Amino acid sequence: MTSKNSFFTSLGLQFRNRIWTIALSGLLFFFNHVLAMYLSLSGLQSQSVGWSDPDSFQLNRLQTVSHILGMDNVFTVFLTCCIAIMLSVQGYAWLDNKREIDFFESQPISRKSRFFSVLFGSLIIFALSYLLTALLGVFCAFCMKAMSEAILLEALFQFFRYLILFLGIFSIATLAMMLCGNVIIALLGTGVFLFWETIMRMLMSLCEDMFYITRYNYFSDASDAIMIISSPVFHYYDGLNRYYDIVGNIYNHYTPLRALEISDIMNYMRVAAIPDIRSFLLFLIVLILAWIAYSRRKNEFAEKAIVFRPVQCLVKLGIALMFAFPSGMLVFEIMGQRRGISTDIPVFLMMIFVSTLVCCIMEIIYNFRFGSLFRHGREIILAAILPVFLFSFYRFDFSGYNRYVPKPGTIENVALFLTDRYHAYVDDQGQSLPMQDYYLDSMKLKDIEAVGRIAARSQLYTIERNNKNDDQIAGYEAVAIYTLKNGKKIGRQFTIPEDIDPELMDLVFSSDEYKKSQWPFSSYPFEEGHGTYTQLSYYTEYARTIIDGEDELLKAFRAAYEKDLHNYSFTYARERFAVGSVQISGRPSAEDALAKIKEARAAYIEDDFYQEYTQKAMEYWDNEYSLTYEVYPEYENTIAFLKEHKLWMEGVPKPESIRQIKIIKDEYMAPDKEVVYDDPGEIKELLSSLIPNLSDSYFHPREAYDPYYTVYIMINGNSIGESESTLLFDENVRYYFPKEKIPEIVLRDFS
Amino acid sequence: MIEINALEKKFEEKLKALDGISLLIREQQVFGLIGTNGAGKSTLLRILCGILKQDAGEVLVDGQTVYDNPKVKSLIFFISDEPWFFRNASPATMKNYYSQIYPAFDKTRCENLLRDFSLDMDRKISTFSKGMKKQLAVILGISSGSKYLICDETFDGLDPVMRQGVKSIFANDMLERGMTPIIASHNLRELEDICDHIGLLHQGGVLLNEDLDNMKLNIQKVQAVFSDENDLENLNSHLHVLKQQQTGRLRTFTIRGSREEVEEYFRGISTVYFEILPLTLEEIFISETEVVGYDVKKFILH
Repeated sequence: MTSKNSFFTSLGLQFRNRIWTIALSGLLFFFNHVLAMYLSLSGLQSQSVGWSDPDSFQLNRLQTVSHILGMDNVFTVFLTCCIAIMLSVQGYAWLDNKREIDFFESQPISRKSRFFSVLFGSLIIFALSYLLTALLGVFCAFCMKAMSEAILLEALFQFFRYLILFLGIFSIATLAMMLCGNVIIALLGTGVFLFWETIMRMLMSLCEDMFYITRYNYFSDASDAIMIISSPVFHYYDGLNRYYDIVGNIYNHYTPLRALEISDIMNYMRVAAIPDIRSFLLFLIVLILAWIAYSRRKNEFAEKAIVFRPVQCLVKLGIALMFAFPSGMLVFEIMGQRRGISTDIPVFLMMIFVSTLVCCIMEIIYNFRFGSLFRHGREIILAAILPVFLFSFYRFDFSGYNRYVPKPGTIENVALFLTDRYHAYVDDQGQSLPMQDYYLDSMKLKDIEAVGRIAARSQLYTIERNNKNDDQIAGYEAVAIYTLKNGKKIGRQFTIPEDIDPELMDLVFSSDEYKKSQWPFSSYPFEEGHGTYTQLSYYTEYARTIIDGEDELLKAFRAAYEKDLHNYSFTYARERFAVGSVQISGRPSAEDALAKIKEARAAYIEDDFYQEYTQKAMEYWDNEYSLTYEVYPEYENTIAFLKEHKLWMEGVPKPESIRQIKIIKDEYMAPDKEVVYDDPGEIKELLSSLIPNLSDSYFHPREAYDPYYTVYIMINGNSIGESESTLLFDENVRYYFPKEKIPEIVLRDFS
Repeated sequence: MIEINALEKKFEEKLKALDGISLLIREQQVFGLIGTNGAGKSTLLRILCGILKQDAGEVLVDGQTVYDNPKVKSLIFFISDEPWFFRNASPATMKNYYSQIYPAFDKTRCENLLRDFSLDMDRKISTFSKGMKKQLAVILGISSGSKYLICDETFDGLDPVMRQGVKSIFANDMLERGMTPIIASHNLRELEDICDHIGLLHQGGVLLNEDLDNMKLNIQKVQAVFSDENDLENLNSHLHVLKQQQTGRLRTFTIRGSREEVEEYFRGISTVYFEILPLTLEEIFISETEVVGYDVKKFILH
């Protein structure tokens, strides 16, 4: 028998011997493609009276057909995976049975023919059962007048996508069959192959979250672009998600109903091509591995759990790691994630115990004998070391991730910002801009070396605090985002220590680039021609005043503030307390909002759709956006501006507007003590010593105020501001005393 | 012709199933493969069929290697000790299957044999008895038209009538188309009737590899009563005694050597009585294996 004849004979025999499999896959696809189609369309037909708009009703029917035959049918994905595994396991199951091996391997058919005839036979069984039932489904939809050219194209394209998915899953199941000598173990092995990478990535991600304390998730070099390379299902959905990213999910209830267009499918084909090519390459690679395993597999290996000794070892180590590592992490979690030897030792012991246990169980499975419990002692030791090493790798930061600062020569630009100083900036589409995106776009600091030095010092400080389990706020929470010359973005978050070198900080925080980004005057919608200023407000701890916004007013404020900002630096802000803040508010013009939407969506949405969509969108767009500017007592120009427009109020209320002052002292190991002052003289004396709530005091160290005394000013509302718009919004305002500057009368009354 | 040269096969690190076996199986001979349990008979047969691959040495069937060689495998049909058939298959299904696999498969003959052996063509094989399944496997093997028919314990499940039937079919096919059966069995009585050549395996090695007739000519069973016990002591130095037993004064010896040589020795000494008796294959087996330590006395409970 020639090899060609041998292959075709074997292929022919495949079909004869797999009648039940063919029938089962045909039946499942029949349910999925034909019966579901008929029942869904019939069900919709019976609800037709509920639809007032015939066009919408027809669109709904078309979407139903598209859903069944098209890209978003989860059940078809599930069926494809199940049938692929079933055909592979059934096709190669003879390798796991000694009697069947005697039968098949004694016959004059080459091993190569037998291997590939199962592959091609399975492919033909899947393809035919899918295609025939899909054609019946198309015919059914056509007869029920719910078919379009786009859906037909979608169904055809989907067929090829499912074929690629089938091949990927089939090859993985085949590799598992070749490595295992037992069908049940092979099925478990298929599961391991399909999910190992996902599980490992989850574990790694968990570790990164726990131990990479300087990791900034939005620009993290630790888990950039998560891709499950070894999963055909991931590649399938990657293609689908790429499509949804550009056109939106038409099956999503939040998206308006619309018909699928040929252009949609062309887009889908275009964007799904790369994931599908990846999936096909995965199939080829895994198939080659399966073929190598088959070629090297001896027939006497049948009925063993895992046939190759090195694979036995790898699987054992992998599974031990998969169980031992999360067990250790669980202990770490139970111990409150505290750093220290009292946590590390129980974690290590747990990992060693679980990995040893798993190794013993695996040996029993491999040998189908309980007595093999402690075979291969070296592997048990290795399996115990592996999770401990992995845990230590993250726990003790072997890679130096937490300390890492890119070399200045590799950095294109850098942004450094405090995370509690973010104002609600919006992009030029009117969408709220995430903090990191805003600063990345707007802040390009020139003194890269200074940023690097601040980051290096701060990262070390953050690590030290973490190692000491110090959860108290002590410093300035900040983020540095580096854009490297190779285009990569790296983010690190850290706490800048309060005792950091002020001169170093000034190099960054007094720079024009920093100030322009932190206190912008031209971000959307405040750009000229794109929106209108609506209000300018001045806020203190206790009240606010408002005037209507207009371009000239804003220009005057900007000129004044920019002059005052000239003196701003880290040292400046650290030595002073802000007395209030100016907030400017604006709104985009309706025309501008519509134009922006049209521009953004023009690529794929029909004109008719805009009217409905934009009207709804306008409700959302009818928002105000605001920017905030702190005011220090030395900001003479700004204060003059505020006074000119009767907006100015002192940082603390005037004595005549105060009813009384209540001071509470936090007594150690005793009830709080409280003294109330209502004498105008005493009130005046106390007011001269107060500092505002530190939340508005940029860069001011915590040590600046006395933590034991809290001062509450009860305001009566008289003469708190010159403007009619002045509004007292808090009658009970909290202040503090500077440290070691407690007034004599307070010391006397609390002594 | 099948040439087996220095064949080795290990299953695990310490488990050597075949240890440098060399045999020659000539065409149109019935080759009987006998051996102790675990001697490597089934392993040898599976290597001959290309099911297993040897670790060392070579197997040449008509001058060609057999493993993964469909051309050579089409000359071989293997009947395993537990034949496997497709689930829910009938003899007709198997006949059609094999007719596509073996180019020389004779469907008509298969149908005739099935009828002769009273096996229903359309009945499910799963309802067959063990013996009937073996009959079916033999019929399919004979109908395959293959040159070498390799049978692993095939006769052990057949009733005497069927055994005779199969033997006669074998004889006929050997005569008509030059078939060479290779039969492994523990039923030495059956092999004695049918085999031309015997290979005796023990612990992965070959103890004996001879034509059955030669084997019988070279080993003699003698019963004797000695007049002078001194002659008994000299016996071991003159002849190669494999085994001896004593019942009263009557002694029974198994001796390697030609009949003439043994007879001449016994005529030359003083005996009350001596007689050279025919030796069965079973007796040869026991004698030969006992020499290498496979002693039945070890299994007798004291």
